[in-house]
Amino acid sequence: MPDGGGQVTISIEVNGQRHELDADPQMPLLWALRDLLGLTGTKYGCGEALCGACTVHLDGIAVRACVTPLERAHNRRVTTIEGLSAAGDHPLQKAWVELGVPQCGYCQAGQIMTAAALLAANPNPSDADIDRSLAGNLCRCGTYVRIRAAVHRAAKEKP
Amino acid sequence: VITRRAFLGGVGAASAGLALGLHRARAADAGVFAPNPFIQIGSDGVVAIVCHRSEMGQGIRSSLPVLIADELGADPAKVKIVQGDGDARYGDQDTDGSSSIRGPYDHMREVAAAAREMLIAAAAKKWGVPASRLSAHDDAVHDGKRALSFGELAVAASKLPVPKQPKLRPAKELVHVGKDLPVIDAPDQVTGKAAYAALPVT
Repeated sequence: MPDGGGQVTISIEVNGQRHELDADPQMPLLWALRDLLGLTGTKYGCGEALCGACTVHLDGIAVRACVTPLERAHNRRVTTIEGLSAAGDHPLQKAWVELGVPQCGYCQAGQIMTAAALLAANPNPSDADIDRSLAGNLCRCGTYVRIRAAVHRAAKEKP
Repeated sequence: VITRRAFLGGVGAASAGLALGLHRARAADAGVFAPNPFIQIGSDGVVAIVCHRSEMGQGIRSSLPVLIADELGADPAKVKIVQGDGDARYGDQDTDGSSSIRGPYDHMREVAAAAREMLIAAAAKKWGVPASRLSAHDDAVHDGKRALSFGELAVAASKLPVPKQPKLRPAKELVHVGKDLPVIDAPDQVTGKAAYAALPVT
């Protein structure tokens, strides 16, 4: 495990693929994903863990990649929107398309990743569960009502 | 996603297509008969429609091309949507004031109606029947049970004059306008493929 300062080698598994990254261990995970690995599906929103646009899974748990130091992902599994399903057919992705959830779409990768972590932990969430779980994911287009409907629809279809 | 330059270059290379509208575009850009940049029909049957307003979540890429397709008689689900870069030949491209449907509505219908009339005229010529008994829908011109696809008619239609005052369809013939429409970019938005920055010129 690296102990900070200068360049070290970080070993992470992203969407099933192992990478050895020579990088500053304090680099935000979001930077590593977007700039080093070219995975631009995860978005930069606020940079301060306030908006949820950068949400990814770290060993299946939803985290904000913009404030997660790369060293925290050392020897761990990261899943991004690109790796949520092989063919873009996760029940959440299908429900999102069927119900026309996205408007500008910029926050939606984060919304879906948070919702995916919710469904993994709670396969049949109530409205209140959904609202609580997704409270940290902001959408300035205001797609919240359709997001909630899409999470319910995805919950009905078992992956 | 495809850049306008790559798109027009491709159309130019194919060369056997129909591109039309109500005024003439710069020939240098297209290299083929291209009086207007909004509609391009290849002899392969691909109908490409330019969305000349900016998408910012209001769904203009999912709606304005459907209006054109509906008036034309093309299946919106098969239409290839091309994003129009800023260019004077598209006319007003202001995307503001909730006006991106209301503003271009009549003009886009006229452009599509002109295309439809030319395709119908080409079919009428081929069959030796009056154009008045033909109709255009589902990417083809129909005469009872027989049909010629837009792709089959593209070359012949491209040789006809562009009607100056095309007749719009009666409202009841517009089958998609006013309906709930799919969000065309949603599959890319939910998989992280959607691009949120200007693309490099190639």
